[in-house]
Amino acid sequence: MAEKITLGMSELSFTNGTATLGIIGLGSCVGLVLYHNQGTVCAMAHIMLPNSREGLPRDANPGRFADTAIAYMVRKFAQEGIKAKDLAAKMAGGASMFKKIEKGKLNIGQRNIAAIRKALKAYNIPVVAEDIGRDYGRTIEFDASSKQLQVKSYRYGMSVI
Amino acid sequence: MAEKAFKFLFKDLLGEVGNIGTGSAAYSLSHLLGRKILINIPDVSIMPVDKLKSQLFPDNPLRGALYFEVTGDMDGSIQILYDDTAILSLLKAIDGEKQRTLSQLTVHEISCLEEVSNILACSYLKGISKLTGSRLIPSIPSFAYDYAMPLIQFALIKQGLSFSQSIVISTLFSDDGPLNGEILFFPGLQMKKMLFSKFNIAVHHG
Repeated sequence: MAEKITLGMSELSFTNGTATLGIIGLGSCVGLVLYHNQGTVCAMAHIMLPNSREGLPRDANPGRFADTAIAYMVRKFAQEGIKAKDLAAKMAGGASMFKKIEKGKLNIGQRNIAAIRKALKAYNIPVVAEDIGRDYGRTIEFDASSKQLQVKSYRYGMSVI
Repeated sequence: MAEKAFKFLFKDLLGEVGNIGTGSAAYSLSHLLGRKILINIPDVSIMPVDKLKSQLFPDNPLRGALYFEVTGDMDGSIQILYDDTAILSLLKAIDGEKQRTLSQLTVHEISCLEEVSNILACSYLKGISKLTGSRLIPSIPSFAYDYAMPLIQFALIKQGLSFSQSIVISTLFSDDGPLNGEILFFPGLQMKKMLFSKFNIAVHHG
């Protein structure tokens, strides 16, 4: 059984395929996985907020914000000799748990997703699979060898994307 | 003031706020249901966001949650969480005995829960208002039934916009029977400033 790494809010973690990466209980946060198409190196970030310019502190974990998380992950992959064009992304989360309140500017889930898409587009990284939005929490786990992202929720049970 | 003493004082102050708030809320609930309601001593946590989430709900249980935005002189948010037996017990007390499925509550049942929680949140804030002489207004309630971690995430994210650490005042209440609930109060940035100025504490740290 492979080792399991569970990420807390705003954490970011890399593995070379020896461990699975997971997040328990995603609400408005988004779990983003970037992985190497040909290899087993992969990374997961538990992104809280869309933009590093609107949150504190500025020197926080890079995983806290969509823009800094993706920039950090791409840089780390480059250090391992993996180019951005060989990366692919999967993501889950970005829900609005309280629909009456989380609308407009307060719809952090949707804003997180939009910010992630924008940042990934800048590096031309395709989002190959996603399970996002709506109004329920998700628990996710990514297996680097099969490159499958398992999404579990109270309401819809388990699915693999 | 030394940072440690400052944090201690701030915690103490928040504990008092939680105490007054929950006392007032429990009084209203007790009146509404005609039952004795017991409250615990509030627990104030100031810690990094990822630690807080797993400290509050280590096994990520299923909860019914009501969320309120707080506006007025101070900002923040309140969340009231009930476990399954508490939801059923509350609905039984208000809406009578019926067969109910927690994952598929009717609009009427959700409305009942929202109303009870609205009374709780309003009295909680009224208690704090009286203590601090400020005006606090709760938003309309919003209900969700899911695992606890995704439920509290929104409040934590909102706090993350202004604080580097997460601050929460949590208090358990119960009727010594099936009704168990938890009130979580997440103060915002204005709240911190207001509390210090109201109680004449000089702020040297952000």
